[in-house]
Amino acid sequence: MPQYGWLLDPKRCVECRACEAACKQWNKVPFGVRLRQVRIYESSAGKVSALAGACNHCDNAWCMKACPVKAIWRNANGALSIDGGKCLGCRQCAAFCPYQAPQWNEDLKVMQKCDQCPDRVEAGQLPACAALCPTGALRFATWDDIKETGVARIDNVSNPAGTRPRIRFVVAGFPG
Amino acid sequence: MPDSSPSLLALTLAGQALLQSDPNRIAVPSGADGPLAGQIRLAQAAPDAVTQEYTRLFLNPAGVECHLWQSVHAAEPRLFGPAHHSALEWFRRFGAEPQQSNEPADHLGLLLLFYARLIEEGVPGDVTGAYFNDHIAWAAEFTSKLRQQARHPLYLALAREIQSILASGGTQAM
Amino acid sequence: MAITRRHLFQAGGAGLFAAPSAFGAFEQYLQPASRSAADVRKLVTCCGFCTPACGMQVTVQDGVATFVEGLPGDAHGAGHLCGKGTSSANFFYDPDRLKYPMKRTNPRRGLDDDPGFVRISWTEALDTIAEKFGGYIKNHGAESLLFLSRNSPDLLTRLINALGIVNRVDHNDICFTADQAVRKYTTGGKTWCEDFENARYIVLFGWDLVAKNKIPAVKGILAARQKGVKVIHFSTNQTATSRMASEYIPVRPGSDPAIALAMINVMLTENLFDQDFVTKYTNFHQYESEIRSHFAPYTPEWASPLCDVPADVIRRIGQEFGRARGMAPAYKKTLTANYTNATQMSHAQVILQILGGTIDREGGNYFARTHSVPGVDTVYPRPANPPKTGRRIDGRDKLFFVNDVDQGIFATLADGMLRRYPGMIKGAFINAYDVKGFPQPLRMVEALKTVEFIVTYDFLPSDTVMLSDIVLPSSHQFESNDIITRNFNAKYPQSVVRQAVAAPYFEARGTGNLVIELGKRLCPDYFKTPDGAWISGSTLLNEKTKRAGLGETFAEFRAKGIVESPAPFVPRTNFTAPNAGGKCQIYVPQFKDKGFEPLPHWHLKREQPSAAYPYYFVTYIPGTHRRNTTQNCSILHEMMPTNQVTIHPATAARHGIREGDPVRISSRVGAIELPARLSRTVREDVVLVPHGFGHRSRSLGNAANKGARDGDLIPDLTPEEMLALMDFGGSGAIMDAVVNIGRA
Repeated sequence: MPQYGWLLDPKRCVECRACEAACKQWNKVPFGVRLRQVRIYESSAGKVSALAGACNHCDNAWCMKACPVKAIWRNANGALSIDGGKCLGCRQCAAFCPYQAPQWNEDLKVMQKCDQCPDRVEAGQLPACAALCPTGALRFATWDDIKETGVARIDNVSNPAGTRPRIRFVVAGFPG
Repeated sequence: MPDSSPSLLALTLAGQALLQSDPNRIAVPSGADGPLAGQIRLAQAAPDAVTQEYTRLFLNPAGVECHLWQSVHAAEPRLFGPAHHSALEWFRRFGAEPQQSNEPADHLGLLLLFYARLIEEGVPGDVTGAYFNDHIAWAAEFTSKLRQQARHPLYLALAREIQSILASGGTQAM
Repeated sequence: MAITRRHLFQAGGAGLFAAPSAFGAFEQYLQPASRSAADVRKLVTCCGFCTPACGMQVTVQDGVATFVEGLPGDAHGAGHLCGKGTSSANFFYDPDRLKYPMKRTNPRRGLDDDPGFVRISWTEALDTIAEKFGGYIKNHGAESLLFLSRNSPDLLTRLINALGIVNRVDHNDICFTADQAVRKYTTGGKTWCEDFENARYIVLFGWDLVAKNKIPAVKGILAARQKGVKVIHFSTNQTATSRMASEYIPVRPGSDPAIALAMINVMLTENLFDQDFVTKYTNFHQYESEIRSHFAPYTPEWASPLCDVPADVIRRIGQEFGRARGMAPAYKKTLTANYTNATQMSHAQVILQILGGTIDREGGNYFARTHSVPGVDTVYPRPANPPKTGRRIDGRDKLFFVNDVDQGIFATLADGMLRRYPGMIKGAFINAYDVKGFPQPLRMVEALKTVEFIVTYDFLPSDTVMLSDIVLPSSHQFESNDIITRNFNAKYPQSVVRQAVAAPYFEARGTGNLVIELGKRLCPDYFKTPDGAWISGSTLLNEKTKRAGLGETFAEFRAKGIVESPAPFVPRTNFTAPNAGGKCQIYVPQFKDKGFEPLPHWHLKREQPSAAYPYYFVTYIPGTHRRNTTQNCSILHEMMPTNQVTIHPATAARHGIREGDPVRISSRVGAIELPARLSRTVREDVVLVPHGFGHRSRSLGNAANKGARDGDLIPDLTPEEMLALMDFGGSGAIMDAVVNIGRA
């Protein structure tokens, strides 16, 4: 099965948050739970970047190791999901996640996170967020392609190599 | 099971009182007794007060006190949400749909009338129990709000009636 | 839970309608099902949040919109939507939306008074409105009615004209009126399409449509940057537009005209302009000596201290712009539209476009090529309109060029109602405008309290709804049918269908229906077809579709979704400014004839920092929300629930303000309190607050009482002040305030 990854190109992000709205409506995510969130980072020099963050489906997923009931599992495409039936709501996954990806669902008393829209991916579509991004700031492709295109680290953002996240960044600016 | 079912009359009157702001349009069978039937009869002589109270409680653009639709009581309040689709699915499995297609199907009044009909038709208890859990049990929150907010005796009686429906239905659902 | 066949069988096979129910109520509210399973389809329509109206595909289950995405092939969104458009269904299914017509029972009218609404029928509502409005016209003249509404759709305009309404007031003074007024006499009209893709150099003056997430603008600037085209962003604060630009140059608020004048100076002095275009298509040579001597003093060195941009930077940009024959998109909907020198700014900017030879040229600012969709007056000729007599409540009649384009004015309305002509307005029809859109909204509340009878037609229970006597629930774009032409990326005509993807819910009605029903009651002769039948919205739409060549019927157009008529782009060689001999006007004699300046002069904006109010107040519309209408939408509310005040860390330190501290912001007309957000993206002399928050209506479950109204700090205007400030294009000047701050 193909393995996938995510590519963020911050110079293209205009904070329109279509990715967030796409995720909410496709996955019927309730109020208060934000599986994908555009976060704005400002350096001490006043340089601002906007990044659409969510679960990065790390190869070495600390959340998975931290979960006491093994509620987090990985599908054949490499996507990590939380099994709501098993989750005890202890929030250990969130404590160990470097990306604020697992979110507390107060109504169901479980943790939730991005599962990479497996229904869409199986149907040959992009995950909702990447499909609806108008600028190409958020892209989804096979991990081999992403690894070739982007770099692993970017200013302003914590991106510990230890979890081996499936995310890369475009640092090149526009031509000219 | 039948012993613990709420009475058809109670369900029918409560359902109508939620759907209808004019008490004169609620059919109260002759001989029907109980506080809600009594309050509806009394209100039929002075319907305006009920209509105003209905608007204030359920429809007021200046702040609805108790929303009539199940979807609005979900974690993410909205009209025509998942509860609407689920209610439509229940109705359709039994060959029914709401007459008003321009309003959500998860109106508590409709949900109660449908519940009454399932019981009346002798649908097995595990099915009505599942329906109760899907579409009636949520009304506990609605009812407590209604009890707090209602100023007209008809709606206080209605709140008590729905509360006893919830109590008997809850027994049955187990 | 799955229901098995056994259960269905036991339920009685024929279903629940085989025998009558015990008390007959079941059959009164439910009927035999018309289908056994959900009906799911994908429908084409257009967004309704902002003017580009990007194309959408809506997944609909049993008439309920469940997923909204962009429409490939649409010239505006080009297959995408912003976050607002994507959240349309959540906006649509807001539980707080207005559902039925209501009337007020509590005569006390105030933001904190419970109106005591009771439900009424549409018939009662329409009859009451017709009786009241008819009575006011009869007893007090048409001047006694205020229509607070845009001049669309065409049916509404017909009603307004048929009644002889002199006081139709809209918000465009705080949007594009000054630019429209200037453009009419310079280029001949709305050169508002931008060919970013083919631009050679782009200068943005306060233009912020990338950050406002207007998708055609976002994609246009992105396309230019991908090709390596230089984009300069002059702005008071750094935004998403600045990040996408090649250069972000912070400027003193309200000083953009100084930069534009100095760029013109450089281009003229160094002869860096499109000689061919200027010679053939403008009045440059007719007025060359006046023009050259007029701009001679406006050197980069002169401009630099005014705008805080180094002279060599202005000179370089002027040269680069001139050599590249650059484009500077119109300032509509942007910061620079909202100072009292906006008319001058607009004129200077048009001159830059003319000197660049980019008026209606590829790579420049061009007129939209659209399908010609006839209005109702063409389809169904009407009787002659009565003359419009009476006093103009906002004093617009004093501003010739604003009157001429028939827009505005919000900024002077409250003053007109309270001071100039108190008691003149007896009845008001408010079409989806909220008091928060006005400068000094509380003054507008006071003005509305002087009106006897207020009707508000809206989607959500806004603060204005709470002040109204009759409230009418409006439909959403998901419940409407229309033809939407592409007006921004429009090198050749393209039209996209707007169709009702859902049935009208509850008792919401569209504007067309409302207007026809009022027309029948108030001016029936104007709402009949030539054969004497009442005009119907659907027949009218069929007729428009046919005459625009989009299909034999609206249904046929709907089935196509998009209709386009590709044609090569033929640049215009004859321009339509009045009495200008087919040329564009740099020097505008008509301005001079009316006592104004024929060429743009430098004017300071109205309010300057002082000891009492040392900071510039800048407000903006964040990309996440559509003005003051979407704050209650659950998805958008979650993204941006409230507003904050953005202050530079150095400024904050001077006042002992730390991140998150409550800050009191005060101006000469009011004060608000907001939490501090410290950021180096604003100048040290700027205090930045987003618009749209501070809803008081408690029925807005999410938005009520979150944040503060920016308008409370913004002084309104009088027509006399506009004239004294040479703001003859009538800018509402909502950026033109100065404030002080302190830890609350």
